Amino acid sequence: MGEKYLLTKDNLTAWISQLQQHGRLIAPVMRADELRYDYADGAREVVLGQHNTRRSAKWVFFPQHEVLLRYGKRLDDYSQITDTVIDNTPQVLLGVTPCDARSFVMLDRIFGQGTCQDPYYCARRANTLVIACACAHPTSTCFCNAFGSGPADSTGADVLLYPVDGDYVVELVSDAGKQIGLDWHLPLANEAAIERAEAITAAAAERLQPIELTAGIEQDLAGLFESGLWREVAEKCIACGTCTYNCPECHCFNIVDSELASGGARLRGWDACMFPQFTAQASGYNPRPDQASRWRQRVMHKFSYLPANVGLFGCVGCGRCIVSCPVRLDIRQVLQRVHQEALTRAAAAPGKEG
Amino acid sequence: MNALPDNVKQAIAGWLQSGEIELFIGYEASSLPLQATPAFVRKAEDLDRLIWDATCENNLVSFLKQFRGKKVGLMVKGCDARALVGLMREGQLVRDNLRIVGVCCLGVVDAKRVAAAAGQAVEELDGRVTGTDVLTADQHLALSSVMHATCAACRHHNPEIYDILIGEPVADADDDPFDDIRAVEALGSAERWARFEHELSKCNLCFACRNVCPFCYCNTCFADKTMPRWFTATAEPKDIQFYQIIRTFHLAGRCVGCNACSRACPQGVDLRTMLDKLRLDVWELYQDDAGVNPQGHPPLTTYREDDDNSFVL
Amino acid sequence: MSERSCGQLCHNPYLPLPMLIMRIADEVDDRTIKSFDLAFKNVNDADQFTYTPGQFCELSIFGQGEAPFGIASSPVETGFLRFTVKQAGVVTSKLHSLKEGDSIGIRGPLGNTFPLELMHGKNIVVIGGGFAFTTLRSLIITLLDQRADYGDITVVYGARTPGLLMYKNDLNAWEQRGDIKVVQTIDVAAPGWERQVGFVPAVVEQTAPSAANTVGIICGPPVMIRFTLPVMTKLGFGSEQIYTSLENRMKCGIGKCGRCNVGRKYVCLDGPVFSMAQLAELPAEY
Repeated sequence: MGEKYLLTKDNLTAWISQLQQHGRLIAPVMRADELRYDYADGAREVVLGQHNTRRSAKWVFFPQHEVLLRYGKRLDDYSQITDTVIDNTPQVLLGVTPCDARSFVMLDRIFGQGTCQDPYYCARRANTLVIACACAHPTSTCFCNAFGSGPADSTGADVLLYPVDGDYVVELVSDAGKQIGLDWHLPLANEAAIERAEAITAAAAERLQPIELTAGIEQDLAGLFESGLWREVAEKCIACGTCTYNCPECHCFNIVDSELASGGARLRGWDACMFPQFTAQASGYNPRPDQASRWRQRVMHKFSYLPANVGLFGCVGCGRCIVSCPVRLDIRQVLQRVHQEALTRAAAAPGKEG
Repeated sequence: MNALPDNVKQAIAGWLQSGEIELFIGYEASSLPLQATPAFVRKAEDLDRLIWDATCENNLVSFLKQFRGKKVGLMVKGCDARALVGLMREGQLVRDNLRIVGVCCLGVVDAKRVAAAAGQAVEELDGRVTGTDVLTADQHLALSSVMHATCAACRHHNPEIYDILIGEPVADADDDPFDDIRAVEALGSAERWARFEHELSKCNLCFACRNVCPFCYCNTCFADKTMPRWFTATAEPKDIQFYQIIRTFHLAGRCVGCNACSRACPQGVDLRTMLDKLRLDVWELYQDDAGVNPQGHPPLTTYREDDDNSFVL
Repeated sequence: MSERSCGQLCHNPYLPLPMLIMRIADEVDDRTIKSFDLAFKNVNDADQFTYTPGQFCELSIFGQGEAPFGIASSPVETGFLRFTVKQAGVVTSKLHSLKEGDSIGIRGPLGNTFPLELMHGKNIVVIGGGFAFTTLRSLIITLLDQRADYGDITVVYGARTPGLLMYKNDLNAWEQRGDIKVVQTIDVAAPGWERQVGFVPAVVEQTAPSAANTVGIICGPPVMIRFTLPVMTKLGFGSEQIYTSLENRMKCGIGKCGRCNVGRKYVCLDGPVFSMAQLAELPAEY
């Protein structure tokens, strides 16, 4: 842990202006009655230190739709790529919650590693400074603690702010954060401020309900592919995309061609395993024919396949899927049922006594 | 939390045990405050889970899409019962297959309004409902002040059809249910368009509105068709507006105004104004209300010599 | 995760390489399946594009989108890439309307390959049904090019009618050779058909290739595979001796879009070729 600095409320506006010199500012702002991460004009608009936004920050690196390439304006022109759109604009993402910052680490392993890097994601990620704000307001749907995380987790952040009664204690986390922090010329935080910052996040951690969801979940899931529990879980699911769209880790996408006003474009856009068409083949055959198999995929992907393939869960415990679900399906309850079902099966399995 | 009355539980248990229904769809408490969640019950001993109170906002009729031809029981509010009637008129449901617990409803809670009143996030609330009172940690709110906007416009508190009823029928106001729609109509087109753009800027195209709509039962929605492709699901305003306009028009003469869509919308988009505008038009042009008569035909599938054609250019 | 090399995709894996349609040929008599022979427009692309039987490409038509197809030509056939495409969806319908001289794009090669190293020195049984013979053609031509490296080669290929058997010139040429056994079969007898009649599983049973020191490759409709596998087992084939190629819906082709997985494996990356032993470890989600 490096030095910690103090950013007072009096200096906040000037500091945010400084950030805007560094790059395009993205922060929690009110838009159409909703607190969301969006491009911000300046300090006046920024809302720091609130509870989670309804939608996650993943769009900053992985927008709901983006142009992969443009092609000739004429529909019969199948040959000419007129533009590929890699966005290298420097950006500052200010005020994400620690769970959002942590989500980027898993996304990095999908888009930034493997056989091929995704140049669109990687360009944005490389050019964006992530300044997280420690969480003083965990709510009843937060369960980052189930992943060994907490309100002051700096994973995935370049800089972490600790809210202290309107001021902020500033921790420079990554090399990029330490580099830019030099330009800010902030005074060192005194002992009292640091203690107060730690007390606030410790109090926030206290408010998280103790929850155990992830221990042995991969083993639990391994035997439950054919279980009837998926049908029971999925029965009330209405197959909308809310949980996956609002999830910071869900990253499944579609690629379609579309005629924009500016000409033809190949677009990449969010898709969702909850949608029946997601795996439907041209012949009409669908290997995931019902909502039960789609829910199974959602849970297996997050808690079995991703840990096996990239070493991280596809969930950070932000609780957005619970809050936004039109029928209030709660993934915590689903995971608890998975564990119960695995216990029941283990107890019923013969030959285990010896 | 309000358990079902014993006589209702006994009736449902009887239906399940006699095989009159294989499944009962009701509500139970969810992990979120002031919002119940749909519950699917197949065994009489599980009926104790079920509740009815002003937190039961979902329209359970939409789940019947999954159980075509099956014998199912369910709970319906006044608005939900109108959806049953409309679906019967469209030949989608057979009354004999259903066992209906009707509830007289005074409106359902909009947890977001309660949260706004309490200055908290929905998931932070410590709230509960008793009758028409909504209690939070330090506030006592009248249901009428925090119910869904859609409930404030309700003139159908009592179910049109049911086998057994919970509660005493409530008097429906006989004023004009469309007065706020007429107010919107009176605005200039620029102002109406600005409202429309503002509302739909919230939409993230998750399709919850379509998926909870009892009347969105197309096997493949136009939005999902690829041959030909009508629609590309981008976050561009033009695509979002296109989708919502087509969906709305596809419900003309069919929408019963249950507003399950507005209540399900995780982004809080006001879909009611658009849909009720069409309901008002259908009423004025054809004197038809989709949720009243299970016989007959929807107005846009019938032809009369004296049909209004003033809108033909 | 995958042994597939990144090849020329690395800089931007979403950009298709420009290709020219050199030749279009009907493969079946109902004209729903056509072969497209493509040439690279850029010499540099042609030099860098190396592939192995079993791999696939995303065919790209601007304005319509992309769809994945196995490469039907063999690396030993130089100067063109062949894709054999059945008209089914948006992209394939547009593709069928294109003419020789038109331009399209490809992304690839993608996915893993048939286990050529494992097959070295062994007897080979290739079983195909209907439209799913594209990468099998690539495989057989590759095997015949290095004929001495393999033992007996047996091919069983079936379709509903004689007119639905693809690659007739290749099949007839192979029949003329003494170093490969080719069994063509149709479902029910047809006038003028003098070869085998019967469903593929039954014909495999009659043909009875030895399982000893043999690798079997089977591609075809799911129902054909389902009924052929027990026959193979009866003949003594172990699940590690039988390979197939999966066709889950794909988009990106590089293991990112999250669509084509079977359990934790991605068909586009870890497949499309899997042994039956590998599939036994995975859920039946294909």
